[in-house]
Amino acid sequence: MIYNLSKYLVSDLMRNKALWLNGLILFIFSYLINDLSSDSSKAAVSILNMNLMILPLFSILISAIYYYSSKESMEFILTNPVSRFSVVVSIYLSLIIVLSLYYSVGIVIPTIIMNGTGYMVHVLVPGYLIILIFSSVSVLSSVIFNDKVKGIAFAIFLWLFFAFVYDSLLALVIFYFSDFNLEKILIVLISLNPIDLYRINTLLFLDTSAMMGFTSAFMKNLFGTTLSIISTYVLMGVWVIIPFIVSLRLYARKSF
Amino acid sequence: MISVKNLTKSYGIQSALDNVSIDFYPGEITAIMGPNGSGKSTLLKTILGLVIPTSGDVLYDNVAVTGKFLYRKNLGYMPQVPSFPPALKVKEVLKLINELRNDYSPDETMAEYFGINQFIDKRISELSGGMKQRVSAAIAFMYSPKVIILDEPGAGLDPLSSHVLSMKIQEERQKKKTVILTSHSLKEVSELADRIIYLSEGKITFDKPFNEMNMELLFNYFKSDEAVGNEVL
Amino acid sequence: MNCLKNLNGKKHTTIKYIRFVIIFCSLMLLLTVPDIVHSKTIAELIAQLKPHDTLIVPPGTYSENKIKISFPVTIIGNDYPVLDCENNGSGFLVESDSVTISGFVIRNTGLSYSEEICAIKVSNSKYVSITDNIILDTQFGIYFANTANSEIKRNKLISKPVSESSSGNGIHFWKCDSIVTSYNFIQGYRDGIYLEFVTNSSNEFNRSMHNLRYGLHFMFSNNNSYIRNVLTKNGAGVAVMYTNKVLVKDNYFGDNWGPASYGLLLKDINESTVTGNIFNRNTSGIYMESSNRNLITKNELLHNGWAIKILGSCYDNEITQNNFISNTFDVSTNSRKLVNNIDGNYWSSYDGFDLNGDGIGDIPHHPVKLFSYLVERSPEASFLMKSFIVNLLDFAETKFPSVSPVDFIDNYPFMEVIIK
Repeated sequence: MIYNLSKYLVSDLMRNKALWLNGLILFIFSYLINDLSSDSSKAAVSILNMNLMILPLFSILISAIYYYSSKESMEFILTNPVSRFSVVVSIYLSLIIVLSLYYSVGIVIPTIIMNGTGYMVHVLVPGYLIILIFSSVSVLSSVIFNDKVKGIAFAIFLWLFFAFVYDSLLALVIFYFSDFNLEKILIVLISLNPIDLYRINTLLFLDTSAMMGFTSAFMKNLFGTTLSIISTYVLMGVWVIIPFIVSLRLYARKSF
Repeated sequence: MISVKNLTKSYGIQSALDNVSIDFYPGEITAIMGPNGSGKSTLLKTILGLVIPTSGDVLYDNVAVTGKFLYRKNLGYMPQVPSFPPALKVKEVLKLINELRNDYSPDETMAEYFGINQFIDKRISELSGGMKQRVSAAIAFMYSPKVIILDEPGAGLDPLSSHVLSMKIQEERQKKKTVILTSHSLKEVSELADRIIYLSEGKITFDKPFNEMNMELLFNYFKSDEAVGNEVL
Repeated sequence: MNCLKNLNGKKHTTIKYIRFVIIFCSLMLLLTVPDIVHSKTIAELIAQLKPHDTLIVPPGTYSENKIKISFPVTIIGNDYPVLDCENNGSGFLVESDSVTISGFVIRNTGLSYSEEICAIKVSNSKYVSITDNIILDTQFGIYFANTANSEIKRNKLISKPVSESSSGNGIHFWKCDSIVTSYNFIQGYRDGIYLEFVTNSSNEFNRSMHNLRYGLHFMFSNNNSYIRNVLTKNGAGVAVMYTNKVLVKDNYFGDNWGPASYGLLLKDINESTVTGNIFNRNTSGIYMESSNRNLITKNELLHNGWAIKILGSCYDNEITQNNFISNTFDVSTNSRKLVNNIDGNYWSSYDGFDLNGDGIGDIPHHPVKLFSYLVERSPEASFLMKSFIVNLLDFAETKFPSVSPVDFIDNYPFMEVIIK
């Protein structure tokens, strides 16, 4: 059932011209970055920066807009013998399939072709997890808010929060409590924000990590490289699963 | 047979349905009437499982089906404003519904009956409201459902299609199907309904067979809601 | 039957005898093969010499160690004879003036934690010349203690780095004066070139790379010059400390990239000149701590994490006519007030304009970004590296400086790259 439904939802989404335009914009950006960067380590940092900024926004907005615009269609589909579970899973699956596809075509493949080096794995792969996380978060906020404007506004707020506000708060914490030994607390705080998690753990594999001085040394010592990858992926996985489970539960009890 | 029992749905303090119990019988067309916000749509959506009731149950063949979904294979639904995935073609929508209801084979003649074959290759986004209504009507009848639920069936249709639809509804009554519809149109109701349930503020004001109806009384009820009254006249 | 048996037995002993003779002879032959190892060791050869003799050592491998040279002598290897110390200790121990050692391969000194084991150790001498040797896998390479007026030239020192505690230095000086160290190649030691209490010496055209700690490291060594050396890919770059009046000129400091790596770390360096150097791809190009009255000019600082980190303890340094190009951060400091002059540099990050066309930007340049200031103040801030908020703050700070040092300004930034 999920397969049947997702098949049609994916083809519905794939025919959306606005999405193709987004994919094209991603492609142009990544092409320029890869082409203009003097070496692949600089390209890696630029791609990371772009991913950190655009991927969450892209995932959150497209997921929210799609959810609201297909709300009535989903109501209609739900009048058939289909469980709500299948509907939510299908919506989510279709979204992440299509978003990952645009990400692959727009960013991953051009980057691999033009600047394919080993550490690009750490830049590119967590990008997929960012898509999974922010689609999941966005589906959750859409399920919570019946009103489209409120839902999309909240989704954008979430993006602003994780991308800007959170780090500003961290900066304040660092600034005002610099006399204390903050490192462990900061690591915990960073683990709570998927964008930071992605940023820090990717930086550890890039040349830039040297500029993080003993912080990066500290993190490398604390986690060890493999363990740090695993724990990052696990934490990011939690960010995918928990909002998704909550949205499943809320959707099952929702009245249209 | 489908029925609702002690159905209550409240949004905050406001209740859309207040302890409503109705049995719907096969071979009978039940028209649910009432002013805007009286709970008509909520009642239909609750029967369809789109609204989860605060308390009470929907029963299909005397089995509570609240929160379940398989019983919906016996239901056909035509919403007031139909909506399908916009980039899909009409035939793809039909295919999708077919895959969702793979237990039954569709009655292919329905597409012809509601005249949707002529635009079957078009995208949903290219269709007019009336065309979408016809697609929706075709789907509602296509899987020979035992219960047919129609929300304002005549509202968006052109006169010819509207006529075709009432023919079809009457035909279903002959086949001993349960038909539930909401309507604002006294004309439509007088043409089709065997039984009229009037809802007001979530409560049943009256529930009578059509031939026992005092039309003047019904008319008076309508007059109390000015907007609806205008539509009736 | 019996007779036959006897006959058989006799024949058997004859064969046995012949076989014995053959084996014996061949064994004797093997033992009398002429000795491919030299009949005399280097130490024996030296023992036959009189002062100021010259010894040409024939090619081959010499397995010996701790060869003492206690009178003036010139020892030259013919076709690079190999002195293999077989991990038993130092190679040459020079304890006399006017000694020359040239043209040897010295290898496998082994290592010790209690004493310095060296390929060549020179102590309390003058006029010593160590040239054209190849030194492989030694704990220390060339060790000069209390030596003056000497030279170390064109040696190649390559070692397998083990760990900072068990590796020694490539070229190590302690209490020396007037030494010329040039054209050496050093790789894989703890410090490439190490100088402590060395004066009036020059170090030129050396290449020191892939050393565990520093490519070049000196302390308490005044009046020395370091010219045209290439110092790349060392664990922590180059560190120089507690020294006055040093000339660092036309060197290349590159690819010293790591959490605690510096192109050039200046700690307590005073009245010195750093000029004409290239600092390329270092975590910190120049790191200055408690260093005063230095002139840093005409250097190229390219693609570094931080081009210059200058801590609040530095005063009256003159940083001028340098090119700062494509560094992540040009200047970083932990102090709000600085009494150093940074006028008249070229900054690729400068976004001002030059309306009067005199080649000098019309508005001053603030090279210290807020973020680098924050990181200097509280290192935990580096958790925010590459976060958007940092770009945002930096942008706001360049437009409305409020936190970063107000005095730390280039008032006359060049519009174009300064060509020397």
